[in-house]
Amino acid sequence: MTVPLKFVVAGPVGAGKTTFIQTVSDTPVIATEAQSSEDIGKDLTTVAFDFGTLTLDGQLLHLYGTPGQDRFDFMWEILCEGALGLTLLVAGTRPQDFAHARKILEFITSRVAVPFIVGVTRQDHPQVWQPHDIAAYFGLPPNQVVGLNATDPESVRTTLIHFLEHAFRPSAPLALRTKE
Amino acid sequence: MAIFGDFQDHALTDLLKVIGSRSGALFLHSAYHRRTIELSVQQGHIEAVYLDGFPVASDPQRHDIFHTLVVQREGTFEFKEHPQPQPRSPITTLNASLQAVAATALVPEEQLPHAETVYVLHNVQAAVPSSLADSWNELRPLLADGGSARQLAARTPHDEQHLRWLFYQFRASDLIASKRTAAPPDAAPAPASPSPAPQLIHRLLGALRRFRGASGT
Amino acid sequence: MTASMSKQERLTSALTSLRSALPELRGVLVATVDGLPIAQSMNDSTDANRVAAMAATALGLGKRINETLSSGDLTEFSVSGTAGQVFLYAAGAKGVLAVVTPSGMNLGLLHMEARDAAAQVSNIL
Repeated sequence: MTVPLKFVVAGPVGAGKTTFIQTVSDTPVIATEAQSSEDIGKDLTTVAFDFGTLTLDGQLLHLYGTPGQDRFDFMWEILCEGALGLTLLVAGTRPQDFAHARKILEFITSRVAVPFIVGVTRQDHPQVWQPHDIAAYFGLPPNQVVGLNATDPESVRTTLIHFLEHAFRPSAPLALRTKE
Repeated sequence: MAIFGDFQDHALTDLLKVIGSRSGALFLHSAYHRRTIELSVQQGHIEAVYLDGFPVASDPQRHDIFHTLVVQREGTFEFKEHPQPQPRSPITTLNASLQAVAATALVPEEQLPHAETVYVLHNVQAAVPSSLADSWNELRPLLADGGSARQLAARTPHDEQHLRWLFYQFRASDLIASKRTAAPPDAAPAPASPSPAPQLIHRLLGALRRFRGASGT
Repeated sequence: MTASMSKQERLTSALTSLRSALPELRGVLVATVDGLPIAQSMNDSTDANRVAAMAATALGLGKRINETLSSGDLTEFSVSGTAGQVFLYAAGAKGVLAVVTPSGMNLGLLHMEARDAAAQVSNIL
């Protein structure tokens, strides 16, 4: 019986985290949500995490989606400790969220040694930021930012493939960061 | 390719970072007393400023425009790239004067870095805007081993909020970066937690690729 | 309490009553189920924003655990440390009441008073 590995999906509210996990999870996603008291464009918001699973060649992956608001920053850290990897999602149609996405990414990755990529959702929209421009915004190498459609299983799997291919190559720019 | 949005959500210095070394026109619609500013960018350098299509030649007026852009942050922006860059005028670059104005601007709270994000020194050769020089000289040694606004607030007379603003400005000037990006480029990647075995990564990749094969696309 | 008092005043009043009934409490806080503080009275300088978010997370998890284990409706969720405890109660569908106690409190009395307060808060929200 293998030890499950953990993969985290973080990002601002509305980036597509819950959708990402729902799209690829083998099991029904367990969401811990509550009625939103703020106007975030939807009724419910994640207050703990979304939980899904994916088994690949007998290896069980636990998929966790984090809450988006800053007040839940303790959950970002808790969920990313010991994780195989992190995908920071940002909606390419919502440049107003980029500063917040950067805040989340910098907080997590400066405190927890977790390999990551950035995923830019809504690539099917006509007016949308491209991954290489978002890479420039974040100050990341272009191969660390990919475009995806979070509702398409093919696209989400390709994102996971891209992460695995790039995060663990010995000379990859996505070097695991040491937590000194 | 689309670079667009509401100006209030972005710093002009961030937009220039995104433009990088490209050439084109950055339009700021209704950003200056409801009029449109166009910044002509050649290979990343702002070479000219236009107000409703007319060139702005005087320094004081350009300064006023930069000041308004940085402080008011009204209107929307979009960048239109030129496929063929024109030859650059090497002496004309307004980036430094924009940077000088931006270094004094207030920043909305939600765009400030998290108080507990750890920053380290990044490009110490980068130019320090004169308004930040004293703060930089004071804080630079404290950041040699990395620090967050919260940590430095405990070690200096500054409050956390002010430090978050300083970190924002230092980051905009490329002087600091959040801890991950400061790893020396030639250092061998040293994992903090045991790196997953290569065979495991192979198996995961194999399984994901088989999904793709099976779906027939 | 009259109808002419604002929601905020009524909440503060309910919390004040709770604190008078149980003078040894270290703090009380009311939050929305999505983690925003609405009213509070805390002894020390604890960050109410942080407590409100954690209370919402914990209550959300508690409700979910209860459902999964078929334990009925959530009555309370508690976290105990060597120097004190915190008890979380649902205050209707939209609220969370967090009660921070020292160690060794009379739990029977606490739950009675706290659930009363939670019901009052639920009516106000």
